[in-house]
Amino acid sequence: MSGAEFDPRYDPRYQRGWVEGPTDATAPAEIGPGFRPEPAVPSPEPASPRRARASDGPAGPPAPSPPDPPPARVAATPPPASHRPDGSDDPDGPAEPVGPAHPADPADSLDDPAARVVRIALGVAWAVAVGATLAGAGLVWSLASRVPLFSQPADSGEMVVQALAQYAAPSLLSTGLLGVVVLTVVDGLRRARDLAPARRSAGEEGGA
Amino acid sequence: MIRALLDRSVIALAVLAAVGAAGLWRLVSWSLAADELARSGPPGEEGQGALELMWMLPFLLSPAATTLVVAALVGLPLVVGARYAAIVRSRRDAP
Repeated sequence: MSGAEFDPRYDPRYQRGWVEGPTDATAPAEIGPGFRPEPAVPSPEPASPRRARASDGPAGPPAPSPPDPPPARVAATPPPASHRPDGSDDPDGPAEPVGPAHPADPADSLDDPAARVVRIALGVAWAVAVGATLAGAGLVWSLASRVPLFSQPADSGEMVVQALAQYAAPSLLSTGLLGVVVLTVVDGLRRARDLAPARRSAGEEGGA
Repeated sequence: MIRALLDRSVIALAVLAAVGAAGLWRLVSWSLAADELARSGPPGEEGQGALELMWMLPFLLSPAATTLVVAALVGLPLVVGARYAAIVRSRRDAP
């Protein structure tokens, strides 16, 4: 559509001939340079991404035709926390997914970059620990499966494997299993840390 | 309270400690059996292989089993204590 069909002084969405686009945020840019949307709700400062998530939930497609411009949606007052998980009283659009973005556990939010880095680091640590354990067990198995246990190795490669199995396999197994135990303890401590805010918020919601 | 303390991490640590203790007991039993077998007389061809295996495996696996038992026994009170403290704190803060 062209910008000459609409009066630039008013919002084109309320004028005749307006065809709804994919998103409302791109609509004013298509009209022309003369259009300046009226600030329906004053927004003195742009909301931070974390606050935007707290008010709008996880990122998703915006509602098709809200009457307010996008800044007003970001600065809108979030609904009560007791109405967020089920989404039944959510006036802002579709219901948000329940679970990872639970308000009582913001550190484990899927959108939080710090939580994502922690999850990646823990995943790498789990992979290293399990890999060391499996490598040590494989070396021990390669040594134990030899029919004459103390026979002379056939070639240099087999000799290297036998030496590794004798000298490195115990340490690999020990440190791998130690890593598994440490990571299990870390997981337990993280879950215990998340237990208190969840129960506290549940108590607040129950008492309210 | 007991059910609240039984997290998956607590159960996993208990299982790891049990596996480590059972493995360590098995390795010690193999070592003792190998000594007994060596004192009983010269073994045959298959007996010699089994004797070497029962003598060798404890040296390879007992450090890992000991590490598993000790680490799990160190970690269990940490996780149980953290969960207990969290439960007590949440009950105290609840209205």
